[in-house]
Amino acid sequence: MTGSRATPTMDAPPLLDIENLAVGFRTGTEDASMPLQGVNLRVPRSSRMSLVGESGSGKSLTAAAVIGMLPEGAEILRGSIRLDGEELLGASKRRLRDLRGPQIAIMFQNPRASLNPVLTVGGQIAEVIRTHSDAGRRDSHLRAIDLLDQMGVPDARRRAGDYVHQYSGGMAQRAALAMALSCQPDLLIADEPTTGLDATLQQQVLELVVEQVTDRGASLLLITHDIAIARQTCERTAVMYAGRVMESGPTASVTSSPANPYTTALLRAFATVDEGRMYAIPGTVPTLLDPLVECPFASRCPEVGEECRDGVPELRTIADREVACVKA
Amino acid sequence: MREGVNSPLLEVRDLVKDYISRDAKLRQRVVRAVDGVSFEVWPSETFAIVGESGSGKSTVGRVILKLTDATEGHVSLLGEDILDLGEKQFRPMRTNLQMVFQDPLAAFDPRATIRSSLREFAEFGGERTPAQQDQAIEDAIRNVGLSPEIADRRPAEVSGGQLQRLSVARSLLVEPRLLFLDEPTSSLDVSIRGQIVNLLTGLQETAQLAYLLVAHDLRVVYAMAHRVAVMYLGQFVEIGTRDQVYRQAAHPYTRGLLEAAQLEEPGHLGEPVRLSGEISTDHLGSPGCRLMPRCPFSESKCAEPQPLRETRTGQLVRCWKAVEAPVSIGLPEPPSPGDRS
Amino acid sequence: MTARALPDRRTPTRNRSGRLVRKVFRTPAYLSMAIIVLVALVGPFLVRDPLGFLGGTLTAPSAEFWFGTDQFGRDIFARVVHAARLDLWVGLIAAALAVVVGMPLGALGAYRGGAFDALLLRVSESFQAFPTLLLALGIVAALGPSIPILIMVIAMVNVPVYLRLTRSAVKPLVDSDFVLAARCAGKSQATILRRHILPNVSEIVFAQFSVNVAWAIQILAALSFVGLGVKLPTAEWGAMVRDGIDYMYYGQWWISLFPGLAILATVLTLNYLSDEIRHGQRDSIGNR
Repeated sequence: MTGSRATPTMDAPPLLDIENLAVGFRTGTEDASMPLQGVNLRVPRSSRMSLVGESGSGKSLTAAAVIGMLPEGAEILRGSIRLDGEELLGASKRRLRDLRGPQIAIMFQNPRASLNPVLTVGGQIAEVIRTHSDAGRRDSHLRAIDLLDQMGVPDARRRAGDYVHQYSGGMAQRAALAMALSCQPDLLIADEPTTGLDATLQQQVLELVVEQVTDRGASLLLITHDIAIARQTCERTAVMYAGRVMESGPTASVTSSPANPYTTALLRAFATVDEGRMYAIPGTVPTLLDPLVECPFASRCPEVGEECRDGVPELRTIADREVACVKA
Repeated sequence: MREGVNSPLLEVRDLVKDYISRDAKLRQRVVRAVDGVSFEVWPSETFAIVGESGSGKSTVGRVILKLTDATEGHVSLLGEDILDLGEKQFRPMRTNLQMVFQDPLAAFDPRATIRSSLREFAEFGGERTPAQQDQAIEDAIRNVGLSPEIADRRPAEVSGGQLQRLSVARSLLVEPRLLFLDEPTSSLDVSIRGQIVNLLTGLQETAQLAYLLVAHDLRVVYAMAHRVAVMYLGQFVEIGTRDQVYRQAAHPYTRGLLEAAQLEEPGHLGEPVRLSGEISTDHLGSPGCRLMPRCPFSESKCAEPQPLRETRTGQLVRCWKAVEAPVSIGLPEPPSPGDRS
Repeated sequence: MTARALPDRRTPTRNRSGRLVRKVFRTPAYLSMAIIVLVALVGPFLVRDPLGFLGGTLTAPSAEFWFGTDQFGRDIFARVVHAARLDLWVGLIAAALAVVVGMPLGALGAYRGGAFDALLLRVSESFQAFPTLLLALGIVAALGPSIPILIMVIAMVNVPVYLRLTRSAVKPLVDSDFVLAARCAGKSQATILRRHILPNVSEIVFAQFSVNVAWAIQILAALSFVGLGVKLPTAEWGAMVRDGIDYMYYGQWWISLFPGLAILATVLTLNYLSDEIRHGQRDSIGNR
């Protein structure tokens, strides 16, 4: 399966293996577009991987494809998504439903999106536990309270009986994490889990996510626009741009010696600067109406050359990472 | 503060803004969103207010623009007290004071073309003929680095970054002295935030503008601000020059914010501060330090009223420990007299 | 993906009339409405005299009389077509009057707020507390049935609908950023209402307008049905249904059925049209 392309850092088959995934929106309508242009991404077992990109890069859509919850009108054009060796594309709805919870779980930017407003927080966590196990009513409730407690919700026994609107933003995100982890998933996908939270709270929540995922031996796929967050939380980072992975590898080396000019530019945009000037990448993100014919970053790239216009660069393994740039 | 300037453009004294809300049982609840804020903005200066959402920082700007009424306090613009003026009396003064909104898409009428949105500002004051308005609109669009053809589009047909430039162009059409920038970059992608920052700092130099910047992105504030106030639950907890606040932050909240922002540059003084919990309006009415429930250094004396006190020249802190016992909150020994930094 | 992932794709549409024509033929609601309007406009010139005695009474639908004839030997097809004009007119004018009065009041109430707003709300609530039809019945019974009075009454019972609809649509716009921006540009309240607020609620109101025309037609038909509508022998759908009711028992179903179907078709079409307008509005503003 991946034997021929195995990278030096990954000997065992990965937990999640996304290969050449392309997703398009219905052609012939005004919304026709191709936001994922062939994504390659592997998340090893018991590891933390971040997927970094600007809005429109396709990072959230990649996550949606993995959990089988693409928005209306989107269709998979090609590629494969394997979880633990099992192909998810084309799997039955029933099978996907069985996988969500015990195998993959997701938490969103808005915690209130994953919690039902008319059920108590504890009650719905307990319900999820009952659905995926043979736990009884009482037992599942006790486990729900225990989970909330582990996530640092103070006075969990009482708070389990509250509704999500009675939770503050940070507490709601903790409850959403409890919900996501309630069935011991192998893979937790966290889609911008702290973007709506204030800076002083972000750290608390990120640390909690990392700690809980690590303790359970699960893997984390953290989707974020903020390189600083990737640096804080994940040992591996993949950088996405215009529906493609531009570079992926150990976070430390990707952020300290980027091999793709896009990564370099993104890092520069994040650097603190003095004297009233901040770095900005010139131009705008390309609109992905059709399949790409050249490097998507070519029109904004400071190092662009003739060869960048000859087709879309594929990910190549260079030293400790993979890079999609002909010049690397 | 720059040389050759001896009076502030904007002076705010003891500003208070209450919101009255009703809870589920229809009981009135007064939320004091801004609680005794004082500052001034000098010509060609950028004064920044940073803080988390819920700190009341945007409300300050909206009160100053008289888009919402103040409860108490004084605001004077170019020496004239404006809080007691009616909308009609204040309207001519609006040319001095403009605003750039956080979400440019919300700031433009979705049905109007860019041109007609800009024309509303170009015709303000009635001094320009229609032909001059057209010219002014075209110049303003070029001035923010766009080409005038964009004027025929509607807001939804323009990218966020371009629209924010147009928002800046629009407010400059009335030739204001002071621009209130309400989170001007936070709805934009990181890779283009710099474009707006650079545009604004460039305009400040050419057009002699003063900015009141409200933001939570500490990198943007560092790049733009001359002086910075840190706001928490309606009060300023620290004010100083940019370098004082970034490099010599004394208040635990400021240090917690800097710590959370994970800036590469510049380093700041003292031990890292980790705040627990989160901002909550429950702590709003507290007479003492409002950070107390979250602060690792809190003790009983913190429940007493905390005035802003000077730690260094021009740097004010609302924390008795920062002034009297800096070592106890992880700060280095205070500088010996005569060794001002 | 976020809503603004593809910012530059929507280009300004220049050819609006061409798009409308294509839309009419693609969307059943528009097509059906176009047919009804065409029948009401041109139909009366093409069919027989709706009042004339044209042969046998109570003849069943045939090749000659498509919808049959009634007890006075009048062509029901001709009467249905003629009535289309009357019913649509009354519906349109009544709904339009209601908009003209209700929309500015609602907008002003929302924008001003305070006691004025509260007063408007209480008055419209007390109107709405009565069942619409009962209210209309009472007023028509008191003033006597005539077409202008019918229009006034139907308009009046519809004013609160627009008032409240406009009010709730304007309310969130009053504090919206683009309205604040207009204030920063020194615009007066009246200018802001006219230039920014009303255009942005017009489509919501227009969608309601379509529903309300249907509603007005139903009220007219109902009033006619109980004998308080148009005077006989004027052709009107509700009155025609009433005329035929007694004959239903004897198997002459066509007298009531065809005008009844006309009411049904018109009301359904107007309701679908309203949905279409609302959809169109969502698409044109985009997913914000």
